[in-house]
Amino acid sequence: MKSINRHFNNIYIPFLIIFLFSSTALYSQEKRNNCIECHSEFEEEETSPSIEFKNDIHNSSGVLCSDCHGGDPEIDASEDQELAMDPKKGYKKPPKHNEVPEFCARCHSDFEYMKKFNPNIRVDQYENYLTSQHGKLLATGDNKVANCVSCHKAHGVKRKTDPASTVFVAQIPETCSICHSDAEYMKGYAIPTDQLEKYKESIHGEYLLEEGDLSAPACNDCHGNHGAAPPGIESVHNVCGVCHPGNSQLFLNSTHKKYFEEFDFPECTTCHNNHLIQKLTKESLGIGEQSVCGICHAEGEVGSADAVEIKNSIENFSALRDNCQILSEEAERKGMHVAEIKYQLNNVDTELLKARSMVHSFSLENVKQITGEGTKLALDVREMANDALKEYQIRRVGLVISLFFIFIAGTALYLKIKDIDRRRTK
Amino acid sequence: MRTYITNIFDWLDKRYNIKVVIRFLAEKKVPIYKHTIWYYMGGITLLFFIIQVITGILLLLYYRPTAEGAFESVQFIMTQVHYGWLIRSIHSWSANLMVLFVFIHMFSVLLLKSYRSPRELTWVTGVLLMYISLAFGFTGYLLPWNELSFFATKVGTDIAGVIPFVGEFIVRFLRGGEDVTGATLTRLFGFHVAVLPGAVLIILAIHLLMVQRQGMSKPVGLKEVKREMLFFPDFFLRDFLGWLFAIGILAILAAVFPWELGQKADPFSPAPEGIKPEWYFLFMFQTLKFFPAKILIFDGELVATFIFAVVGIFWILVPFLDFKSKKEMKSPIFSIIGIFAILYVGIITLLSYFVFK
Amino acid sequence: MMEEKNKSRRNFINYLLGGGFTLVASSVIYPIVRFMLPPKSTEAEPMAVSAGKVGEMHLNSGKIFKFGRKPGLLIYTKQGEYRAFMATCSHLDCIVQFRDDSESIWCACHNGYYDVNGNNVSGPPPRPLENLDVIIKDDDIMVSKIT
Repeated sequence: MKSINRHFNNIYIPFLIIFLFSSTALYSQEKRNNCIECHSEFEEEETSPSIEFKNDIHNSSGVLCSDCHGGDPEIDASEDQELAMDPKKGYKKPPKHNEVPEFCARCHSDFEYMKKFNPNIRVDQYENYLTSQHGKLLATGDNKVANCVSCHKAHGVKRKTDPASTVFVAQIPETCSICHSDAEYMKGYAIPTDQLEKYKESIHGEYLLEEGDLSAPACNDCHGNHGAAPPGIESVHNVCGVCHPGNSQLFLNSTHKKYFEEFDFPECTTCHNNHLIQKLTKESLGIGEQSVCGICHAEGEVGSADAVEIKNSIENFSALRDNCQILSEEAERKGMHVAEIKYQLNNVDTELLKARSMVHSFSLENVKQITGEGTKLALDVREMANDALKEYQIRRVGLVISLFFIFIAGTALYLKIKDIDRRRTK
Repeated sequence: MRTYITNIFDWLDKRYNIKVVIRFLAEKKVPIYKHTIWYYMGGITLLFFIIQVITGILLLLYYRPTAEGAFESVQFIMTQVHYGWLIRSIHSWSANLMVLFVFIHMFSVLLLKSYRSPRELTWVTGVLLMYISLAFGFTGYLLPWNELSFFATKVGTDIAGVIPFVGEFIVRFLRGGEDVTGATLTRLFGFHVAVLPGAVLIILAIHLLMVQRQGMSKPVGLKEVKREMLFFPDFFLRDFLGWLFAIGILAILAAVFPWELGQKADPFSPAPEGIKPEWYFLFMFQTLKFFPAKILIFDGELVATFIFAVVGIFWILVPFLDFKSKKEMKSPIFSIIGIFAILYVGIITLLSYFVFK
Repeated sequence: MMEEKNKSRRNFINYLLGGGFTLVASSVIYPIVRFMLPPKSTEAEPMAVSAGKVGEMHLNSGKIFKFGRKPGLLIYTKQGEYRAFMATCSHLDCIVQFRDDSESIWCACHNGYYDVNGNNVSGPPPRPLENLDVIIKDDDIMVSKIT
């Protein structure tokens, strides 16, 4: 019986294999992958290749283990492990840390191959990587720097648009911090390890991590991803200008550009900091202790008078705006309708925004022009709010007058009733 | 001048015999004793109703009953139309005061047993008017299409859904569809400005005619009234004095505490916290919450709704069930029922404002 | 004498009563009449506003106009078409502007771009601009909400 069975298998299996080979490509993808079958027998951890790979973008795109590692998944390794992972069948040992970029680049730099998956796919990552700080150090034999899998993982690679991905925009700060916030690990590189901490405190971090605004910049938006490197001094305004073109342009055309270059000041970050970019307060202008202008412009020196004037101009406008809001809120509390006032107040806010932006021209005249227009608008708003409050008073007066009328009529009625009563009792 | 008026009067009298009516009114008397004050409550309710009709018609000039335009049109009334804020505020305040005085009027009649024979039908029409007032309140609440009213209406119409067999139909009927939408708004608007006013007009006319025809009731045991006053002008003028006072209070409330409009309803936003119906539905709303989810095999809400319905019908039938007062005997049971109802409604309403929240 | 005094007293009361009620009635009727007179602006959320006159704008330009309580943006494309949008950026509510150099709509705050159809094409804006209807009526460019 047993021998008949084996005999049957011996004849039948080759037929079956031929049949499978001749079937469609889709069909062949679903056939047994002996690498996974066998590896999952002894790999148990969540992070082990055979388990993680199930949710890997390569797996769902139909890329097999053997497409990277070589070997033959057709062969049941439980029968012949040597044959399945035979170097003659292209099997290679897993790449070493410094071999990874090249390993991935075999496919990812081959547009002819990659365009099958997405005709618009990028294939410049490896090239970029070579220009990055990571890539340069790797070339010198430093095996601590990040390679592809440090950020993307080896077998759990996910699309950057997948929120569970390590390179999803909101995950990036954490991903970079795995190395960059580890003081022990970063020893010997002479760069700080508090970037994540600072970033979290920054306006960018607040928007991305707390407000969930995915357009807010993560680490890679300023440093690049595959070509990660700190922006050079002269490219800072370009980096910030990607999202802040107005301020960047104003700065470029300002007198400051020239002097900053002369003194080797890192453009935007001179005043705004790099990782710890925060909303500036009113104390940041002028030449006070907390002011950023005061870093260079001491009292009485060139530009200090303008700095103070700019501060005053914006502060006065801002105070007027706040005053409008207080009046508007008071009117609203008193039951007046302030929708129109609020609309105009929005326009005032836009002007204030423009004025604050105009500071980057470092021209008192320019700033004053905008605060002047804004002040005009704000004065209108204040008048509207005052009118609303006046209207409230008028309503009060109207109420008192009509109550007085009612009182007269009521008194007359009362007297009339008494009079009738008196006549009746008579 | 005088002759003109007499001529017109005679002309009318010849055709409609109005002298009889005048003579009847001239002889009509109102008893004076310690509870005379309660006779004025119906009149004040009537005043608020008249104010509702006038302000309601005025609001119709600018209001738009669509989901897109309702909130904006009310906002427009309150900001752009001269005295729009006042008219709208008065309509809202007067609505609430009307319901309040409907309650006061009803309970005073109940406790004085004025419903007893021969005034049973006056009571029946009165209770129907009370139910219609509540319906007015419910349908009018949604019309500004703000967040609070939107979700309160959603919850309110939901409750009807627990009634077996017809519940789902009633909910669909009230909402004009599966959910509270613009269709609901248009529909409730129709009820508020056409269906209910029509019903009120007929029932109110009957109610007032009955009151006038039968005169004021005297409480059980008050055999002989020492003093009386003429309905016209003595009582009428006093009524009017009360009206003036009420108008003054209304003016103060409307001007000093203008009715708020709130935020426009967004059907897709989650319900905000603290959704509550108007105060006069609170006691029912809270009672529903007191019921456990299951009573024996029945749904708690179903039992509660059933009890409301039974009480509602019982309330209409009070004059026919109170056998003692029918025979001019004291009937403490109904006094106790009345006082219990006042305490229950009062305490639960206050509690849901200050304790349950 | 007493009768006389009573009569004048009664007269006074009657005058007071008449006067008082006239005053009350007028303070009731005045707001009602004012309420019924049509107000200056005739509609709550205007169905359509005039954003400008035909011929005022040159090709490939844009302008901000007041649409109800919010700003709107009217653009006159190079192809000679009028288009209108709500002018608030879908990112952080800044007011957008038309750029003739790139023939697109631009938000200066964070460099967001929309095409002339209002679709967000680059930068932070997460959504397109809200589209408005444009109808040319006589000489007026009338803009209304799409219903």
